[in-house]
Amino acid sequence: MERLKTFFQTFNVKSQCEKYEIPLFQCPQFLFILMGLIIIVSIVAVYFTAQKYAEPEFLALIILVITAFLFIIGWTIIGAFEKLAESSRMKSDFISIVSHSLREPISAIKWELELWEKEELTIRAEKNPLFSRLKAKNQEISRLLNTIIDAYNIESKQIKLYPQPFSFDALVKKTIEELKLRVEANNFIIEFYAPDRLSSVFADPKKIQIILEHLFNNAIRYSPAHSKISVSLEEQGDFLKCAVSDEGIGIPREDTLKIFQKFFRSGNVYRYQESGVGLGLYVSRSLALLMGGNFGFNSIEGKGSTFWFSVPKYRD
Amino acid sequence: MEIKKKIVIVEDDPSLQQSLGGFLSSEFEINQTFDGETAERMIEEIKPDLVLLDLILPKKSGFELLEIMRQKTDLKDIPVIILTNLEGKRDIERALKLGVRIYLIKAFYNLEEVVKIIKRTLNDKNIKR
Repeated sequence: MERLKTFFQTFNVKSQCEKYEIPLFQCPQFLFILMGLIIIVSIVAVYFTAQKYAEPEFLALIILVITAFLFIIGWTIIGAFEKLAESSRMKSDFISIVSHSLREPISAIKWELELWEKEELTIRAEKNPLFSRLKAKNQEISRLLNTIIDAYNIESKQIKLYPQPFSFDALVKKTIEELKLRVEANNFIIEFYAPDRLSSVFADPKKIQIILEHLFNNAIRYSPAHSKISVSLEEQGDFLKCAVSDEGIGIPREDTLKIFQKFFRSGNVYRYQESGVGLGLYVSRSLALLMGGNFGFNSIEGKGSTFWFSVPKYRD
Repeated sequence: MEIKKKIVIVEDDPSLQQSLGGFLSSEFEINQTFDGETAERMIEEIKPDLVLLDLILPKKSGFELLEIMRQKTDLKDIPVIILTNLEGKRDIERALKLGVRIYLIKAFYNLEEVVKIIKRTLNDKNIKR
């Protein structure tokens, strides 16, 4: 039913054109249908005219006029496409320039804080909680920006991966350690399950860390305090699989197909968490697939969700 | 006394330059500059053991600087660490093609990690650009 609806939606020219934010007479879909109509009408018209006036010069003239008319419409369609391409390019440039310029000061703040923290520690030996809070906020901005840049790079096929062999469980433990502050502040319980001996994986550790951060971040954001978040690692054939489960709000059934779309946020999250851009899962899934792995989830609304991803094992 | 190793830092953001320079100055001889043109002169004059290079710079970009360094026999073996926030594949591949071995994205590294990588690069004599 849903698919049928989207199928018919493609014929709704008016809403399609509104999506592009361009006037109807410049909208490719509309012009295309208009051209089709003109072709049909002209063929019928030529047929009947040919029955009445048999002079070939006259018919040739009619065909010439129609061709000229179609040519003009075709020209307008190309113009509209150019306009769309231009606006999409400008949007991309805009994202790229803005995100890069924002990254510089954020990196500067990060490093200044690091220095300041060091200096303070030598004087006082005890850390001021202010640092942790400032650092956490700066990290939050930085993470948000990185997600936007990742999404942009994925879409423009500009992601560069540095795959290398490394220990997966060490990375997961490290990421959990880094999130400790937030976990403790909200009284979450984190449980970690992994077999004693795990193979190394072959992937880009920085990108794996990004995926892990998104999954943990979602688990923390969409779960009530005092609930449990469990992380498990296991081997599955040529892959290592990591799953993050929470006891949070879950994903409504009707949203399961859309959850990986860019900027999509499920209906029930707004009641729970207002902030968020809806790019984390899109980025995580794309990265996992790019590294030759897989990504998926299962969820029951109101009960919790499990998000998992797999990465190829390292083979000597 | 051991002679301090020389590092040239080319970074146009004064705040980043200060924090980096401040962090490194106790162990290394630091020379800093904001733009690509001065950097070129500085590198030629000092012949540092390492160059920390941003890519977007006034007057001459990091890429241009890399190209110049590669063409000069006395500069082409100086190791260069790119320290930038440009993350696009095109930029990274361009830098790698110009002989860069270490490409760091500022947003992903702490100062301490950067310093660790600098030290490792300086100690590893096999790492030529």
